[in-house]
Amino acid sequence: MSSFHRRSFLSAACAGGLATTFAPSLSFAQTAGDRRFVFVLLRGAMDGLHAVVPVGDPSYRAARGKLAYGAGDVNPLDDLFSLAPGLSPLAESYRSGELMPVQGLAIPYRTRSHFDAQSILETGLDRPVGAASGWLNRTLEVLGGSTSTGIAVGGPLPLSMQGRVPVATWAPSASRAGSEGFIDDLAQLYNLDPVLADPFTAALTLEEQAMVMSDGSNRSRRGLAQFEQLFAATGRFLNAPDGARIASLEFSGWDTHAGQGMAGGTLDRRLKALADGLLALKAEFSAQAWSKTVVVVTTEFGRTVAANGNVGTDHGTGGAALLFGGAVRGGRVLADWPGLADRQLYEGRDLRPTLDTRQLLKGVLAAQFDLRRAELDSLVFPDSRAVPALGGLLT
Amino acid sequence: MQIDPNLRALNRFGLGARPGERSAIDARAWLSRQVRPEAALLRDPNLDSTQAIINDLVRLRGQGKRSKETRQAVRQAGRKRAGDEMQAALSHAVTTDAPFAERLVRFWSNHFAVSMQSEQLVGHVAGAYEREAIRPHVFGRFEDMVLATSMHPAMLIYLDQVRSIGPNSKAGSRNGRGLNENYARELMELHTLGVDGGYTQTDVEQLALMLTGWTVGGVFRGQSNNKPQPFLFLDRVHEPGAKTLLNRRFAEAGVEEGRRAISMLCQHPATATFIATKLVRHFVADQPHPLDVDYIARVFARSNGDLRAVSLALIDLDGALHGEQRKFRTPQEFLIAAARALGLKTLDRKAVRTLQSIRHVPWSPSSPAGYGDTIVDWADPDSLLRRADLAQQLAKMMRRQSVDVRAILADTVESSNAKALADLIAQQATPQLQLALLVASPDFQWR
Repeated sequence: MSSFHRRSFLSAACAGGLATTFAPSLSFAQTAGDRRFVFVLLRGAMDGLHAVVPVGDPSYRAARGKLAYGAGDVNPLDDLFSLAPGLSPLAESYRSGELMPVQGLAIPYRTRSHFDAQSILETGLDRPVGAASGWLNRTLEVLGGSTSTGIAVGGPLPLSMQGRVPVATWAPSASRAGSEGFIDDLAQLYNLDPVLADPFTAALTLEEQAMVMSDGSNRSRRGLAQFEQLFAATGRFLNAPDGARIASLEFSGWDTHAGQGMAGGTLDRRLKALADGLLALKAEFSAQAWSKTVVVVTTEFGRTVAANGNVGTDHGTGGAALLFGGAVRGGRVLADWPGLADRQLYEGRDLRPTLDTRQLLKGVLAAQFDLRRAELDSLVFPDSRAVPALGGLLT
Repeated sequence: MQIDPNLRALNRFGLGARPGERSAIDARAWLSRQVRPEAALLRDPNLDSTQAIINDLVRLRGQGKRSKETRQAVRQAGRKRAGDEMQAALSHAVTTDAPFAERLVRFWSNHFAVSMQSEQLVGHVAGAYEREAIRPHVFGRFEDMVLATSMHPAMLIYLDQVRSIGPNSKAGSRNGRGLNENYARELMELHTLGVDGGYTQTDVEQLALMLTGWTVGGVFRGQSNNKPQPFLFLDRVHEPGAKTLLNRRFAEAGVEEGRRAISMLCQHPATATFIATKLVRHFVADQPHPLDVDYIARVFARSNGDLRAVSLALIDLDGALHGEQRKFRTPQEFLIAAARALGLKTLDRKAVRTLQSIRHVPWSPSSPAGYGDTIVDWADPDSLLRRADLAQQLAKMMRRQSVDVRAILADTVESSNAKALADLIAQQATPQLQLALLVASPDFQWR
């Protein structure tokens, strides 16, 4: 398909209304079955070199400068890579084969703009254009379009989840507590509305499923405590036998231009909240459901290899990702490592990308949902035949 | 259900009925009276012109390398300005006597969307963009509106036109930087022809070449010597030579090339159909009826894009004041309609901030296509609960006022289950809860 025709496919008008789309029973498409997929987007460009640390690279210390960890500060994974101190809660998952860190991946288009890069990552295209749908929504479409299969947790519907298939949403609310009687009365009225009855019922169902906090409320947590709250709620939604099967989550605050810090510092605390959140997600699953679950954590691009003048890092290129879950063939780092010596860097400053993010995502989707190659190459990631799915990622 | 054309006009074409209006108007006369250029303007002495904002930016930034304090000051100024603009625009929407004109402003502003999420500079000028590039043309010529948006810093920056350099221009051959086709593509795909409008990738590139040199004066790297001004044509960035767009050859003509291209795009039949489809979708039905689209497209084409004629034609559509089809209010439409029903005189900063919680912040869509305009874009489960939250917050603001809830209900809500709604409202313990349920009710979400 030429890029021109591809576009017209992507922005075809939304067809169909809402009726019968948010089935209250949250019945799901046959094809999604009992396999679960969570996409976690770290907005702002998480510094991959500060998460999956190439402490064994001979050029690491010199290239990284003030932000270089010593070998004793980090949790060794193999000869080359170690997990950042903040990610140490996940070290056991690596040993048991449920964690696969990925290094050196990038979206297919070179930009250092957050806006463009996030847009590319979420639309699944190879350059920034105003496509109105995301690859997660198109995955739902390929899976049969049953809407209760998809849920976006924590914020507005992200571009990755926008598209023809309606997607459920849930976020904690500051003001909902204490209005149960009001909501009950409102539900009576919504039940009389042929179009809005279903999404409203779905909202109440999700609200109940999400009651995960010890104080029994869905009051929104502040700061780093949000990670655990949103991950745990996501776990509940996905673990339910008739619950959602594909979820998206996002966290901002990764744009560390200054004072990035070392162990226990700004970025590392955030990584720890991420690691604890991932384990909180797992804790909500039955062993059976967890064995069919995969989580992909990624970001729009990496950051500069060298620390900048403010002991932070600037926008870069190659970045890191994490594959986590009972279905992951982990216990190894996935990287075609380009090295950190000056001549090995991209434009003399960034980690050189050696893996297209779409290869990773296609590999996960292909294995998890038995998607056909033609569907992945043209529908989910349009015009991507030249970018083959990675094999062997999942059990 | 008996459909009252007056209530339909107030809710469907306006921004929500206010108590007392329903019986006081004649639907058609009330709508057509608003179709006059002054009705679409927003005059507020506290808001700066684009030129003044740019002067201020240049002054704030100062000369040479910028310190942390300077960057902070620029950021703060931008935030304050965006907050002031949003509050002014929303308060105007809540109080205006010409809500049909205001709806058209909002439609066009979203059609030519810019986003403050993209670049800090867009945040400084997004409000001024709506006031200066959109409002004056809402009942003027479509082509003038396209031109005004194309020459405004908000659009020039948002869609990267300021970064586009003719590869064979003086600037291009010196530093090897090149063409950015972002704006050229969206100008055809989103603003004029529509995605199926019959252009090719080559047309995108040719249009991008024609537009090279269009930029903002004085605020971008490498041209701080230029006088600060909203629009500047830089000849040394312009790609020399003839170009071919949609099979028509254009001789080299500097800044005129872009103007001529825009003029041609506006007169293209695909543009009339694309604009008509979006207008009918916005005002009448998520799935526009082909006959309605044809009618509006004909008016658009015959009048050479006279938006006064087009706006009047919308009122005449069969489904406009009578049909069974309903539209689901966007979050902003919901907030404004609620404030109007409750008789609020203004929206304070706190109410404006609630737009974040209902995910519809002005001038902040996540893509150049603007915010969605159909029910699937807005009626997700969590959003319905958020509207219920917001309804309770708004009702709390009414604590000190005595209100006639039954009158508000009768004057503002078109209900297919009027009795059930009235009964449940009457059962609420306090007038505040009664108001909250009225505004949170599913009937209030439709227009």
